[in-house]
Amino acid sequence: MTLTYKYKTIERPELPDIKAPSIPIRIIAESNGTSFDTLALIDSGADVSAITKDIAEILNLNLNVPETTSIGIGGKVRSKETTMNIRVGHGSETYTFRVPVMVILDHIDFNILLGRKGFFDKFKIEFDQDKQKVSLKRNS
Amino acid sequence: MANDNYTAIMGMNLSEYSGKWIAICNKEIVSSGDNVKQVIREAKAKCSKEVPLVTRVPSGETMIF
Repeated sequence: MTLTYKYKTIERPELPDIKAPSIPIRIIAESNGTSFDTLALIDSGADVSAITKDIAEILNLNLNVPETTSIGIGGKVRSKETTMNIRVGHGSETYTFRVPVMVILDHIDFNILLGRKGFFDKFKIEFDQDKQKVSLKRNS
Repeated sequence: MANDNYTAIMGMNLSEYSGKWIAICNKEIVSSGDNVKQVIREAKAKCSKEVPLVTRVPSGETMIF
C-alpha cells in the first residue's frame, strides 16, 4: 500500500499561496522527553534530516556528540548529528524507525526537514506537483 | 498518530500565525508563539494525555532549502 498526502497550502499575505510536500509524522521522544506530531517537509535536496536545537532538547535527544558544520543556501551553520525515532503512516501502514538527524545549533526556526539519509532509502517517494500530492511506498 | 489534528490543520487558514509555532489538540489551536518550548509546554497543560500536533507556520517568504 501507498501513503499519499496532499501538499500543505502555505498562505502568504502579499504573495500567491504555495503548496509544499509536508507529511504528518510522530516524533517519539527519548526517555523524559515529549513526543509530538508534526508536519515534516520532505526535502530531497537535504543529505540528512534536520531539526532545531529547541526541538532536540524537547525530545531529550543525545547531544553529547562532536559539533560539526552544515551548509545550506543561507551559508554555514553549527550542527551536531544524532538520531531520533519517527513514526510515519497510519493504521496498518505505520512504520517506526530511527533516522539520523542534524541538530542546527544556531538560532534558526524551521519545521522538521526529512532528508535522504535513513529516510529516502526506506520508501519509494513520488512528488506529483501537478496533482499537489506526495506518495510514499515502503520498500520491501 | 492523531489523524484528526492533521485533517483539521489541512483545512485551516494559518495566515494569522505566519512565522509562529502552533500546537493543535482536539482539532483546535491551543497555543501559539515564537518559542516552541513554551508552545509545547502550554499544549501539554491543555491537551491532557492527547499527543499534540506542533508545527511552525512558514513566514511567507519563498523557501529554498
